[in-house]
Amino acid sequence: MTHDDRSKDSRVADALRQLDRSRSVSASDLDALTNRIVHEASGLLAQRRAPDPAWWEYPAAWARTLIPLGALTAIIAAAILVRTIAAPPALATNSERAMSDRLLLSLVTPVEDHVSPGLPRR
Amino acid sequence: MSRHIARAHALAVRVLHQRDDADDLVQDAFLAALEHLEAFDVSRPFWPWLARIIANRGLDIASSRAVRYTESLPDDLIDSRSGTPLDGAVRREIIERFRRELALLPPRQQLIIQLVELDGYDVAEIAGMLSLSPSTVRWHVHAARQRLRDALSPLRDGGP
Repeated sequence: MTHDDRSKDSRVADALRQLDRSRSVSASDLDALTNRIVHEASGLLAQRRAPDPAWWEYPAAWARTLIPLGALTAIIAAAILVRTIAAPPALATNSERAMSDRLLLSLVTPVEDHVSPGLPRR
Repeated sequence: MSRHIARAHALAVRVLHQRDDADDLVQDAFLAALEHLEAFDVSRPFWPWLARIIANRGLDIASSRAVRYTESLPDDLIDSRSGTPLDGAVRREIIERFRRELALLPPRQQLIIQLVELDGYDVAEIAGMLSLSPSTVRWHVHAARQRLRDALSPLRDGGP
């Protein structure tokens, strides 16, 4: 017998058939199985048959959460804004005041005044 | 579905050997087919697609089982042609040996030899079902036949 032999082997087939004889399934068993599958599949089928939701159904579904959340955010933002406007400007410290004076002075002083006296002028 | 249920169940029993397991496998395969219906090419027949799902899922289950399936032989199983009690006992012993040898085959090979010898599937159908090349299927058939024939050798060599 070769690799390509496709013919049935009668002895092997007979032995297999003897072992297989007890496994017949009745029509009623198959019906019961069919009913079981149909029952399990009904949810899946209903889901498939349902039309796709319209675009406005998504925001409508989220409205109960998003509207209070948006209102709360707006109130907090308004409170922070009011506090910021109403607060008096902070007073500058001595060192800050001195630093700003030096900065102002350096801006208004002519450039020539900063040239070292030891260097020749052009 | 009713068109395919008997064939699907027979295939599931071939892979898993037990009725309850086969029922679960068939249900699982039909639901999986329904869930992935988009992947099914409507221009092709449904059965090969379903058979592939059953065979692949069933073989996964069979391979993951630590203990191979065994079942004691029913008393009326042996077809005694010669009639004496001794012949019946010897024949029974040979079939028992054959059954053990069959159970020791790898699940895929076991399935292939049963599909060929009992259900009349051809090599191309089995190759499509198991995603194997036809030559690999032929090799499995050859290897399984060889082992099973050896188990039956006392019958062939002039036994009862």
